[in-house]
Amino acid sequence: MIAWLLLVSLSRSSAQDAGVFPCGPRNVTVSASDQLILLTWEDDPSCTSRRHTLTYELEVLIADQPAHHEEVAVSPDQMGSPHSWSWSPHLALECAPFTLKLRSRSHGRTSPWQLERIGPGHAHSLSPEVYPRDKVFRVGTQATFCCVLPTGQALITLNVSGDSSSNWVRRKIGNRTHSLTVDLVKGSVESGANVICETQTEHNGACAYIGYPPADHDLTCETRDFQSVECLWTVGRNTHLALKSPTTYRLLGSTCAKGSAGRCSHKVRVDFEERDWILTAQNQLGTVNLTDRADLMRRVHMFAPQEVKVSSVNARSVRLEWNWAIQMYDELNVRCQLKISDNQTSAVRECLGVALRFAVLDDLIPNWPYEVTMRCGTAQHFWKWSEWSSSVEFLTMGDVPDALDVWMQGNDSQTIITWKVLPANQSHGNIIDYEVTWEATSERRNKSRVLHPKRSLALSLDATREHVVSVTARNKYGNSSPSTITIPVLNRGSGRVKSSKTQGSHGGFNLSWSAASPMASCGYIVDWCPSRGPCTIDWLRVPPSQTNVCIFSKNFREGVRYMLSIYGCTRGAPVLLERREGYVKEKIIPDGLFRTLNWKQRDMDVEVSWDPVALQEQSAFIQGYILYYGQNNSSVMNISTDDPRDTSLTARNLQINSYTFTVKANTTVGQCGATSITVTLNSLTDNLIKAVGITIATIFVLLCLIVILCYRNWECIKLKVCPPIPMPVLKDKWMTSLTKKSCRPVFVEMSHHTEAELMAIPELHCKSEAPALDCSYRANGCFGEPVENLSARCAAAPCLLPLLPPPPTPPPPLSSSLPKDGRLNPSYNLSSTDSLVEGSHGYQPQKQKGQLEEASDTPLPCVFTYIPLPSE
Amino acid sequence: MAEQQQQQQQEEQEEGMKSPDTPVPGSSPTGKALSLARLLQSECSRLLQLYTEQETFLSEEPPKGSRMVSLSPSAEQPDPEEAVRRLHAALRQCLGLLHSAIARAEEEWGELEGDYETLRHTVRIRLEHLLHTTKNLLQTDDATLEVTPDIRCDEETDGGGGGAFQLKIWTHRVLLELVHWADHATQALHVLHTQREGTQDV
Repeated sequence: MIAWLLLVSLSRSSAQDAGVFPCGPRNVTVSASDQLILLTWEDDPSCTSRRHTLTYELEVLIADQPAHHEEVAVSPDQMGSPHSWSWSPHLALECAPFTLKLRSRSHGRTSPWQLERIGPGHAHSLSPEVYPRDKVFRVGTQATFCCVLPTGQALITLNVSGDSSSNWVRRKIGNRTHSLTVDLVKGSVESGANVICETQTEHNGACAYIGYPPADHDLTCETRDFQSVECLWTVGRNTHLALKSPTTYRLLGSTCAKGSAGRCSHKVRVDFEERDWILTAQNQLGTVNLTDRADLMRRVHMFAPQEVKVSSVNARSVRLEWNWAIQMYDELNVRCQLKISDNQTSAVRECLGVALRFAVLDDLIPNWPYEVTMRCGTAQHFWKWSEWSSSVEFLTMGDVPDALDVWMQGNDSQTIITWKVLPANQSHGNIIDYEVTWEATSERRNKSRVLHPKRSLALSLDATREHVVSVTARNKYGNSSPSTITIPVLNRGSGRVKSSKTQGSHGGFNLSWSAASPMASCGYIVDWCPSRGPCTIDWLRVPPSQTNVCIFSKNFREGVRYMLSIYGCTRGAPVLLERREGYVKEKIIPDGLFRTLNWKQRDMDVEVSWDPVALQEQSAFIQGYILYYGQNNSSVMNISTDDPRDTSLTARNLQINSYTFTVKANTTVGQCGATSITVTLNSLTDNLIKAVGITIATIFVLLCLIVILCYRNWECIKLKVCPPIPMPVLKDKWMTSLTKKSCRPVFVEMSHHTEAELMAIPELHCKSEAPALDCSYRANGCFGEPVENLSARCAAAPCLLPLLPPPPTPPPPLSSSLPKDGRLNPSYNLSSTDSLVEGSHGYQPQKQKGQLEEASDTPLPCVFTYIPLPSE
Repeated sequence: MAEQQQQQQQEEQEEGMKSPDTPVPGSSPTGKALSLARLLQSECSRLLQLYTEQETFLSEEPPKGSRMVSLSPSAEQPDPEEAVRRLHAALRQCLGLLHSAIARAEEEWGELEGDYETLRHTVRIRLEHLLHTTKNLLQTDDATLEVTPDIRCDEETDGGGGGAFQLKIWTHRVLLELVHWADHATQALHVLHTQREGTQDV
């Protein structure tokens, strides 16, 4: 769009003038293209005879202002040939008129200036024009843009968009032309920075691409197929010119494919020779040549093996086969790596050979899935590995299980044979069951089968003899080899080994024991269990050379005490060597550790005691106890003991006051398990009074009890103490008739002297001989059936009471049945007797009648004795 | 009475043009065309947004110059079919402009694969689809509409020769033109759909 107008105005001074240096430039021409000014000229013919160097002076004026000065020296041998000079101005040629001045100089004499002008030929434009357009600049340089305004318009803004430039300097360099000089500090966006010029009515602009020359490095060349060279290099920083001037690459003069970032190949004959491999990277801002000197026969980068497959799969080995992508690989001594992976592990094996096309993988796990991939390289002059081949998956055949790891656990009555469940990589197939055989020396062999997944068997063995126990596992492929353990004589030796404390660390135990025991010919076994409570024993085998082990188990719990036993593995029974007790991590014992806290005052001392702390309650080793005591709102004192077996502490010299006693357990994790009681101390006098009061109260209660008992059992007591007088056995007819008439009442006037008074006959008592009277004192007293008989029988006796004087105090309980008139009715009052006995259980008057009748027919079984009445 | 009906119809047309963001039309040909136009409208707007995000100076510069797509004068009140027919011609010019913009950009900067370039490709396909759809809407025995890009080789439509900056300015104008005519297509097709399907509920 921009038409260049080249104006050449030759203002040539006349060389004919006298006194002027005649050897000046002739046939001067000036041209401009792509922002480059090219000036050519010839020497004046008069110069050819010169023997001295001639100097040409060049001066460039931009908008009539000096912009550049330069001198060109021409030696005598260059005389006569055309000369040229080129220059790239900082300002676009479209921006302002350029004037080039040229003259010669020699020994202080100069030729006249010859002027050449290059002027912008702007077409009449309605909008501002910005120059240069779409030029590529290098970051870190300075750039000058100009804006040529339409006639009659004024500049409003001239700037560069984005943040790729700084330090803007604007100048007016002509009537309609303004320049903007900026420092280019950053690469522009790939579509270029925008230089925008704006007037009152129009705006326009130009794009400027700011970036870097290529900075690629580290060229390395190799061959993969012996027919081409492939070079790799590291691509340098972003040039920011990917669109306007993308970097082009040439390898050995041949253009690399577009977009070949860091890799280019070229067909070439590969020989056994060392040579330079040259890569050229180029963009508008520069060129970089990268060179790598190499013998490609030592730079063979093989392609990955192809068509990798598995053949002849066995239980513990497979054969792997593959092909090569390049036929020539068969002539190479090849080294291959085979990466064998399962779900858990990965291992690499190597194989080596010429024309290598198969490999046998052995030591595999039966019935186990694998994945194999491989890569190869040249064995001689190894350069680099090929890529990994595609992977192949396979499953090995099954096999009999591996031998079990068997251990024992003894308790008081049984020996538990236990074994570890075989993991899948040892079972080689699904386990069906286990066979346990045991025998004592010279005894018949016992056998038992345990179904999977059970993994233990309790045996009741003769504790006085050693037994040999063997366990095998069975799957569909057969039985494992037996694992044997000798069960020692129960508790032999184990009682002599005392346990010592050990500390856990990092969630496990670091155990070490005394130097290798000569007994432990086949190593050591360390087993562990919680010290108390249910236990599923776990164990670990340690080789003979090792006397320490780190034990970790997912079953370990903090705050639980574990018993760890170290056994020596011998040809016979394992021998217990050491025992340890410890916590994986001790935990603070919660408060309220001491379930029962008792106290006892002795004079002014108080002994606080507690029950021994159960092991289950101890989440840390107890090293002793501390008793804190103090009165309310006063200082707290303490006493302690370092013996964890102590169960009491005594606080001495206390005062009569209320005290709070707190007992804490002292552990390595601090004092914990606090339990408190508050007690009030009593004075000694108080104690005495209290003792007397308690004694009196006790006596009173006892007396009351006795009285109540006597009252409730008065009948019986009375019968015992004052038995009724039995009816004498008389042949008298009256008595007989009386009896027959069922104790018909006979009223006797009390005023009359009774026969008893007259005769002063001693009182007749019924001797309570149990067998005779059946008047036994049982739990139900005397009101049972026998008592009824007794009552009846004994009641028959008082029929003679009228013969007796009324008894002195206390009145008998039967007095309640006396008439209210106070008159003593010495006769039997059956109705009263009924009412009396009604309160007793089961009394039947009708029956009594019968009984009475019966009694009349039978002699009384009572043994009557005369008991003198107590005098008072 | 006839004047009142005509006025009412005009109001309905204007109403349809004022509120094109209505529910999705049905499956009738005009409904499909309207849906397509709405989709094109949103994609053109998004394309313009992406371009101004890339060339931030464009968002500060108000668009200058007259319409790039010009249509021959028409009657003051063309009927809906005529309006769509005229719109079809405008869309062909838009497609021509878009083709030129793509070619010029690839000539200047090569083939790129950014979000803008991907959406630009989508818009081109969508515009071609809409042209086929409107062609089918207006197909008669007498006349068949063209669906090829209408490329006019003048300075206004070929991106000019002012370098990359002019190309950016010109591309911006093309995108504005696309947005304008996609919007117009939505309105015109809405009116036609209303007329043919006899419903405002689109």
